[in-house]
Amino acid sequence: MSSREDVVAARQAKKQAKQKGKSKDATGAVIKEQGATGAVKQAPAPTPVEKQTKVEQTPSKETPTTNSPKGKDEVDKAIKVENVIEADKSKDLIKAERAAKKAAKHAKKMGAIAEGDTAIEKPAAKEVPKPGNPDMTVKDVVETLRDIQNVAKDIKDVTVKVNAIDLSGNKKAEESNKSKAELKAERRAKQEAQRAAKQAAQEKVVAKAKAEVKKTAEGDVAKAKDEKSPKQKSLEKPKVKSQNGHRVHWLQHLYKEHDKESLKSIAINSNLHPAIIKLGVQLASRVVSGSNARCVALLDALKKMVRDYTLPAKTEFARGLEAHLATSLDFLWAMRSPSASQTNAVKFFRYHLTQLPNNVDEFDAKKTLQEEIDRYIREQIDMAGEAISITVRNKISDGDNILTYGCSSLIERILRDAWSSGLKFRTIVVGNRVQTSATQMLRRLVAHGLPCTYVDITSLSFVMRTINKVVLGASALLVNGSVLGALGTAQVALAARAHNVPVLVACETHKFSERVQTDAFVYNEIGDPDDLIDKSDENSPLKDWRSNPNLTPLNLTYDVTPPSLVTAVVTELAILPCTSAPVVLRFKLSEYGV
Amino acid sequence: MSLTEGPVKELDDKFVDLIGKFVSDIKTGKLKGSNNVALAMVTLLETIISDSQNATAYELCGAVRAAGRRVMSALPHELVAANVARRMLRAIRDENRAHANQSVEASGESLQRLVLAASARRATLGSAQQDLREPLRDQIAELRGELESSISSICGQAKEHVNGDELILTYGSSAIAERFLRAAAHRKYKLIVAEGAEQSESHAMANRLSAAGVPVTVISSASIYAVMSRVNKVVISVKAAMGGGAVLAEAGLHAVTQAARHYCVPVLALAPLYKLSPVHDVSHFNAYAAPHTALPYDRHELATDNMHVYAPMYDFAPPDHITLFITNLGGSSPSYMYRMLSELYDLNDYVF
Repeated sequence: MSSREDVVAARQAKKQAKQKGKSKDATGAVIKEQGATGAVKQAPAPTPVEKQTKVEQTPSKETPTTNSPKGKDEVDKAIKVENVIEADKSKDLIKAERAAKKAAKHAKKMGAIAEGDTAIEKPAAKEVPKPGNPDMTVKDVVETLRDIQNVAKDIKDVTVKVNAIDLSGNKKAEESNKSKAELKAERRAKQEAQRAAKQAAQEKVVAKAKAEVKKTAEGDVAKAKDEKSPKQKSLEKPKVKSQNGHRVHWLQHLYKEHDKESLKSIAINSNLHPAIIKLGVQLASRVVSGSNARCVALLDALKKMVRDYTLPAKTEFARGLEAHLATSLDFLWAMRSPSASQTNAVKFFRYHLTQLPNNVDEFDAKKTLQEEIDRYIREQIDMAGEAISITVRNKISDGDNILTYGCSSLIERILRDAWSSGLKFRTIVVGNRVQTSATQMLRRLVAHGLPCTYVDITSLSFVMRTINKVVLGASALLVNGSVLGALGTAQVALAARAHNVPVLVACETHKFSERVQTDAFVYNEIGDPDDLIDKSDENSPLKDWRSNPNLTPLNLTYDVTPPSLVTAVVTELAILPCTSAPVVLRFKLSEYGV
Repeated sequence: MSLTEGPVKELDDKFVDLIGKFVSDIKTGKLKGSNNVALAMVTLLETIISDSQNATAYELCGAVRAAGRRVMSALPHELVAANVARRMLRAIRDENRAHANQSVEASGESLQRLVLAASARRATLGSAQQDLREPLRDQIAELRGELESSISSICGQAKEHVNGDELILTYGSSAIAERFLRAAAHRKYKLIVAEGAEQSESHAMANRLSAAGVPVTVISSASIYAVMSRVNKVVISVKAAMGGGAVLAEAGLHAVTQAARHYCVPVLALAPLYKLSPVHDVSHFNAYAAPHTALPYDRHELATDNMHVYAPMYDFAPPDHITLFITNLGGSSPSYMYRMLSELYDLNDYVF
């Protein structure tokens, strides 16, 4: 199907690449960004107009296959131009450019969908808040590209997942046929469509680049892409079918939020901010994990969203942003259900949004909100962590054996601070085979010179005899005093109780939740069942579980420790018994409105 | 003169070689599974008994005890081999007593007799100078028969303990637990396999049981507490059942029984009688597996002098964590295990 949006997007990417080349010749990266954005502002106006008209003449009912060579030519041109300039570019830049190129190619396919969507939804499209100004978005693309390159290695899985998205995109393109009326509508919607294409290209760059950066490292880019998609098709389909049979019946209600499914359902043309989409992918692929990290990442993304938010005409700032926030959060929560820390952060953000005066200036409102977010991160997470660190340090004495389970940024900080303050103790890190975060914790602690011992959770009773204190992190403290922690936390607490070892749970008050839960089934997350399979063993007996209806690997994420197994909770306010959670929540409500 | 107080007998060279082969078979993994080890030990002792030049009770006891001591020192963790040697010693004593024309009071002694008759028995045992090889042959055949049938008789009790629509949890992998659960497959129960320290074997067992028609859910060792609230029964196999009713088993079992106790879930320990050991103090009884089983080598990049990794092999669960022992003679409570002990072994043979 022919689409000028494709072409426009391709051209834009080309232009970006050119400008990158130019500015590269001139000076460093900072100037390059500015140059690129500036140039994009001026440049697109004349050229697209000509070529768009040209494209409109081409019969619009063509299949995408016939259309693709044309687009390829253009992209190839872009490549040639680049190649001339590119000769002495740094590797990063080349990678970034390739990714952009890819995105351009991809945007061609994408454009068809974007077009279809906008044509149908045209009346609605006007009401939807428009994306940020082009300066910001181009900058963002470059920024995110760079970020992504760092992250790319951690998320090999995403390659597969993103390709799955491509697939669905292709299908859609084939399915939709245009009528003449639609074509007319399209013309009128040209302006929106252009924006949409831009946006789509952006999104795709975010997602695609991850896949592509990896591929370029492997070698032939185009080939890899062409070959991969048909394979994916055959692989994905049976999986989806058989998965429904592999559900533990008493955990049916938890299965809906499976990350693989949610990644496939990313809206292709949405007005979501790129930072939100990036965070969504990171959450779903567990690149960002841990209660504090998820909270900070969310606030950071919200900050970017606020910064780039443009207020639609005749809308109150708070209401407009609230609507935008709601769609963004729907997307994020579909990627991974929110942790207590995230829920509280959003509650806090909404509170400050409603506190804004009615006729507030847009600039002032943005500034206030961004400052509030910064303050929240500083006070609720950073300073609270420091206060807890000092409190726990007073409970550690020389020669102690401190046991901790899994990976927690807060516990790591506590132990590091205690060690650097001159206390001599040994840390026993307990991990388990499936969730390997404990090895990460071990790595960080060893890097700081702490004497460490690592044991598997199966060896708990073996080490517990020598332990003086158990310090655990938590994902949330529920209002009934239960501790929602990483899977295995309750088992550690139980073993400690059996050996009469005090259990301290370190938990900032921003992780206190109003939920109540008495077992690990009411609320939990089902992790990837494949994680249970022993990766080092190629002939693992579990590897064929999908073809065996009687075999179900179950990979839970959290468990709930009852208050009776926890000696005390260390918060930034004080050391409290678990059962004081409701008091803290009430106090916070009166103090912060959170 | 008491049999236990004789001097340590030096074994024939050919017997030493046989024992060496037995030990190396176990160490190299040719001989696996406690039942096979027990049977091989019977065969070994049978050879020693039938090839002994002087087959009086005194001589035979000395030879068997020497063999048992040798195996124990080479394989301190193969409690089964030592148990079989103890059973053999008991058989020799019984035969000797029978052939000395004494009233057979050995089997099923009452507690009172155990106390009162101890000195009298001791005085008379050394007197017999008969060749015991022939009568012992029956005893050995009987012992072997018992060993061979013990697993199937335990599995025969499966339907008494597993009911329809129950959720059973088992930990790690073992031949006995697998056969027990398979025997109850027709009861339409559901099974959770919690992987033990050797996860690949647990997975293999889960795979085989699911192929046998049991709906199996595999969980990691960290999720045991989380799922325990739903479990109806825990079925475990043990490495050794202690005289006091405690059990020695695969590392991580203590966490399972702890969680079960926390939720008041019954724990059934499958323990054929050859696993019943007159050992009580197990605080120092452990061995370490290779550390890479806990932390794979590819994550050892930060291995420094500061960092230790331990992978103990065994775990100890106290008697109050076990609801029921299922032996080949039927179920018995942990508090009754001491009695079984005195029925199976002679008090003098507890320590070689």
